[in-house]
Amino acid sequence: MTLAKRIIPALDVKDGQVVKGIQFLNLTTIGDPVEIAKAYQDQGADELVFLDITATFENRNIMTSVIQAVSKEVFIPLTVGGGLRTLDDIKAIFHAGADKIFLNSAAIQNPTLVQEAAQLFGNQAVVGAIDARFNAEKQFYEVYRVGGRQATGINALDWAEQLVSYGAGELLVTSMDADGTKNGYDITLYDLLTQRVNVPIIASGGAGKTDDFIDVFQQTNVDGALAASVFHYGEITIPELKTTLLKRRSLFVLNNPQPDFSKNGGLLPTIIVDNNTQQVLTLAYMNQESFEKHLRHNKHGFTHVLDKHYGIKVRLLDIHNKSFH
Amino acid sequence: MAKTNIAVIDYGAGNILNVLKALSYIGLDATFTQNPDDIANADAIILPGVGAFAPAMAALNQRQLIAPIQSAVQRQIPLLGVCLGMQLLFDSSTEHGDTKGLGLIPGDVVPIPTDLGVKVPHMGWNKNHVTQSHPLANPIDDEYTYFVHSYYAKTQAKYILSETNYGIAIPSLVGYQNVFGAQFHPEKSSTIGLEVLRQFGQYVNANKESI
Repeated sequence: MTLAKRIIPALDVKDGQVVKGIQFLNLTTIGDPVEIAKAYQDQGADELVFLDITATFENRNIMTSVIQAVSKEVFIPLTVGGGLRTLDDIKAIFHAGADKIFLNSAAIQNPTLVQEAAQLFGNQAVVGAIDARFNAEKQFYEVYRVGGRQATGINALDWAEQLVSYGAGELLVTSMDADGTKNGYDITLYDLLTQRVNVPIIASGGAGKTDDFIDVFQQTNVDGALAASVFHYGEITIPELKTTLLKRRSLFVLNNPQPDFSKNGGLLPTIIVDNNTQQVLTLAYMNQESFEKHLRHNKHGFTHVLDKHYGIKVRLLDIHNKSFH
Repeated sequence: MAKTNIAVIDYGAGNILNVLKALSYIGLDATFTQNPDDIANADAIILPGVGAFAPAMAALNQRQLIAPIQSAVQRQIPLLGVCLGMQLLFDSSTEHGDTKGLGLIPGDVVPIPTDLGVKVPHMGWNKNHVTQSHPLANPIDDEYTYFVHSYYAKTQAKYILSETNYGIAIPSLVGYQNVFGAQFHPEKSSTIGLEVLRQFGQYVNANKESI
């Protein structure tokens, strides 16, 4: 019943060419967006994100030709952003073949743009992009703008909620602390975000190895994980990553969506572990109803209640120490 | 054999050019049209769609396309609805009040229940289970395709070719005689989606020869 977790390569495009060398794809034209996008589609990418980093105003419209060309040969969802400032920019990029657009600094500067785009193209087509960094002094995740160069003082969780209220149907959230480190996704950030808003969240920043994807999918409720360099340099290939994810994803969610509640009087033995300390708190038994509420992050589910009323974040393991998440 | 001409109906709905691009990529000739004559002369019709049910029916009505579509279906011309286009094939929808649909497949379009704890819209890659073997459905059995929708078609099992599970069973491909509907986006479902379109093309060719 769950959607597949999306694996999303990100391509930075400058003046119509993909920048950051892409070394593993055996391409004839290094940097050609169509060829690179096609290669990722063939590998099994679930979606592609294009970030326009073209600096000069005159070359901005090149991006529409890029998307036009890519959408003629690549048949997976294309999400495009960077440099979209006006409703006309947005219309042009949709017309070129984009399925979704994302707005970052432009949304901070002009939230109406999010509303207008959502009204015209539907919430599902408008993604709110957030660059966040943990502010140790203020003890919150702070939103940055202008490609992560300028602190805004805005709390990223509040901003996420606001973007959704303006009509963003999905959020693409980059942890600037994790970005470039290859030490894994910022689990805390995505855990907080997914509890705060009820739209799909795409995690971005920090992917270095296959386990990083497994961790963010098992420990948070994000819908997808974006990465650039690990894919571009062939450090992780998408087919291998997907095979590993399939094997490692929860026993019950994937391989056996309906655990057998006909045994043990309808009770499923469950180990409850404190998510922070990793200490085993207790052995409990879930019936089908509480199991489903847990899977669906239902606010009446006991894991949610533990968190909300007692501030205890827990993980549930089956008797083989596999996560139920 | 003369070229197969597929009319992709243009009724001003969102971003539907990608269906045309996919057809062209697999070598199927298609015309993007809102001209009733093109529909009358087509070997097959594709009804794409992104957006809401009521304005889409209003747009079809305003362009006087409802009668030509229904008449083509009666003449055994194959019709494929995609996403909202699939939902329009049914009797009615409760999206923004009760709206009458094209009435080509018995059933009604209703919201995906939100009390299941699932996020709505149902957006992303979900797995299909074929419930009735059919050339259009067989490629997607046990495969993931790309969905974006908040409503789904409630219909009888005999019209359902495949389902996907999103808290409830959602028909992902439906079919009744020469009328088909895909709730997912074949034009966004990578090689599997293109295969569904290819199978539709083959069905159209076979149908053309038999008429």
